[in-house]
Amino acid sequence: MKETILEVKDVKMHFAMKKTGNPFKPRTYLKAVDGVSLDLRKGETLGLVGESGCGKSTLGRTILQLYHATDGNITFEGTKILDHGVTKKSKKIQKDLQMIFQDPYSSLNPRMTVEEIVAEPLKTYKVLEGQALRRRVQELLEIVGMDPRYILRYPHEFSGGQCQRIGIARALALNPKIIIADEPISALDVSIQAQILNLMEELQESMGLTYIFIAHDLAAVRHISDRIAVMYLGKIVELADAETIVQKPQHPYTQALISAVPIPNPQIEKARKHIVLKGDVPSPINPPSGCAFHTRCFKKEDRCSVDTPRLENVGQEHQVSCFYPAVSKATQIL
Amino acid sequence: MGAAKDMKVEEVASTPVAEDKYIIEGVSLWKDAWKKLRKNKAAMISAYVVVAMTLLCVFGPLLLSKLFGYDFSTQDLAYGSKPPSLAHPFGTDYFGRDLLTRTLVGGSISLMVGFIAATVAAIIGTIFGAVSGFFGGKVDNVMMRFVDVLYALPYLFLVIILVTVIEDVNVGAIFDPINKISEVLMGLKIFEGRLILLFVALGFVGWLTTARIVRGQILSIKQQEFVHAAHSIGVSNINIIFKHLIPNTLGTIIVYFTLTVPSMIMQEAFLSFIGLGIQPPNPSLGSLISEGAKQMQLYWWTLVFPSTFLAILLFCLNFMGDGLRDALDPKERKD
Repeated sequence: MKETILEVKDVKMHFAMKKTGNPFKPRTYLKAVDGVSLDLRKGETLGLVGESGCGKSTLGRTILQLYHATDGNITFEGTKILDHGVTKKSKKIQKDLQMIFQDPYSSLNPRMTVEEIVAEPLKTYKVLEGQALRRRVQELLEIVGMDPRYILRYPHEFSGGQCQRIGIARALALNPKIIIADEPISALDVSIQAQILNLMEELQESMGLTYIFIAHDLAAVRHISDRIAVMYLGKIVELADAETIVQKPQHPYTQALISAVPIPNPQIEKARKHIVLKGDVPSPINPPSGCAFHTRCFKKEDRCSVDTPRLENVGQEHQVSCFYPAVSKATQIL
Repeated sequence: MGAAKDMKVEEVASTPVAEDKYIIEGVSLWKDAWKKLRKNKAAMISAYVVVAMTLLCVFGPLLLSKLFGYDFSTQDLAYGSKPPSLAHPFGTDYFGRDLLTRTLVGGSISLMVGFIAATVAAIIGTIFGAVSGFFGGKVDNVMMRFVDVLYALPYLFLVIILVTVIEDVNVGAIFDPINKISEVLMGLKIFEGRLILLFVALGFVGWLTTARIVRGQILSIKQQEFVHAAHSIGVSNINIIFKHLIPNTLGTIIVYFTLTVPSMIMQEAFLSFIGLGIQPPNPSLGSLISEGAKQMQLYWWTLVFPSTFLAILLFCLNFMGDGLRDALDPKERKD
C-alpha cells in the first residue's frame, strides 16, 4: 500500500447562520462538513462525489484552509496543519496544496494577463524574477498544452477549456504535491471535458501529483479516480476503490446515485430498474437524527432514526456508513 | 493585420519556447473600453470641449494680460459695467474688471476644486470602501456606521463653522511651486486659506458615497473564484485588495469620479454663491454668477457669460461620465 500523504480526521466545518431577532434562541449553524475522516495516498486520485450542497467543495476548501475549520485534525506529510480546529498556516505547506476551480472564467482575474495570472504564485513566494520568471510561465503554458506566445493575452480572449488550462498552469506553478480539483470539468463542453481529464492524468503521471477530484459526474469520476468517496449531508457514507463503488456499492445512497447514471444503450437502459429517492436533501442546518439518510432511505429500519452509523469496513478497502450494508441488484449492470 | 499575424504563428510553431518578439499582444478590458468610448461621439466631443476649456482657463488669462495689459483684478472705474465689446468680449463688471479674464480664472479655480476634491474623495472612498468590504463582518459594520454618522452631519453647518472658526489656514510650503505657477499664469496665489477649507469641506462629504459604492462592488467581487484562488495561493490581503479587488472596481470608480467632478464644481459654486467659498477679489464661477444675479436686470452679461460657461462645463463633464459608464460597464459587453 502506498504511503499516506494527507490525513483528514474528523474535520468539521460549521458556518454560523445570521442571528434571528430572538435573543433567547440559540445561534444556528449550517453543518456543511460534519465529521469527515479520510486518508489520501501519494499519487492517487480520490474522487469526491455527492449531490449539490453535500459539502464536497467545502471539504476541499477546508483542507486548503480557505475556511477556518470548526474542529478536526489534518496532517500533511507528518506535519499537523490543522490541530483540533486550530489552523497552523505555513507558507511551505501552502505551496504544496493547490486548487483548480470550477468556473474557468471567474477563476481568472479579468484584468490580468495570462502571464500575470500564472506568475502570481511564483511572485508571491519570490521563487523567480525577471526573464527567468517569463521563461517559467511559458514553460508552464507548454506543459498544459497552451501556446506560450499567448502570455500577454487576457482571459476573455480564450475559450473555457483554454481558461481551465491556464488555471491548471497556475496551480502547477509551485510544483505542488496535492491538487484539489473542485469540479474542474463541470462547466466545460463534453469534448473539452475529456481533454482536461486526460491532461490531468498526464500531469499526474509526469509530476507525481495527488488529486482530490470533486465532481458530481460519476462517469468522469470513475474514469479518473483510484478511489471514490461518496458524501451525503456533510458526511462520507461510502469509501472504496472506484470499481467497487460503481459495481458493488453497499450504501443505499450510493446505489441510488449509481442507478441514476444513464447507460448509453437504450435496450439495457429500458430494462434497468432505477432507484428513485423520495423527497429532497434535508437542510444541513437541521439534519435528521440518527443516520442522516434515513428520511429518504428505501431500506430504513427503526434503528436508523435513533443511532448514528459509523464508517466501518465491510471488505478490503471498502468502508460503508450503514447498519444494513448489502449489494443491490439494481446497480450491477453498470 | 490578421493575415500578417497568422504568418508569424506558422513560422514559430515549431520553436519550443517562444521568442519575445513573437508574443501575441492581448486586448485588455481597458483597451476595449477605450475603443468603445472613441465610438461614442457625444462623449468624445464633450471630452474635447472639456480639454479645450481647461486649456483656455489655464493659459487664457496670461494671453489676455499680454494682449490687453490687465489681469482679473485690474480695475478701471471709468469703464465700469460696459457691455461686450472687442476689448472686453464678455463685457466688464461694476469695477471695470474684464469679465472674460475673471470667468477664465474663476473657471480654473472651479475646475481645480472639482478635480482635486473629487480625486481626494475617490482615493479615500476607494480605500475605505475596499477595506470595509474585504474584511466584512464586524469591521465592515463599524466602518459603515461611521460613514452613516458622517452622512447624517449637515455639511453646510460644517462649512460655516470651519469658515468662521478658522480665519486663515497656513498652507505651508508644499503648494509653493503651484502657487508660483498660478501667479505667473493668472496673477493670484491659487492655494490660499479659504480654498483649503473648501477642499476639507467638500472632501469631507464627497468620499462617503464612493466608499459605499466601492464596498458594494468589493462584496460581490470577493466571492468570485479568482479571489479564492489568490487566497489559496497565499497572496497577502493587501495584494488581494490592490491587485485583484480594486482593479476590478476601477471602472465604477472612474465613472463615479467623472460624475463627482461636476457635482463638486456645483457645490463650490453654491458655497461661493452664498459667500462661503472663494473670497473677493478672487473670482470663481459661483461668486461671478452670484454677483451677476444681483444686477442681471441692468447688466445681463455679468450673469449670462459665467453661467453659460459653467453650464457648458458641467454638461460636457456629465456627458463624458455617461460615455465612460457605457464603455466600462461589463454588462454592456456582448461580443
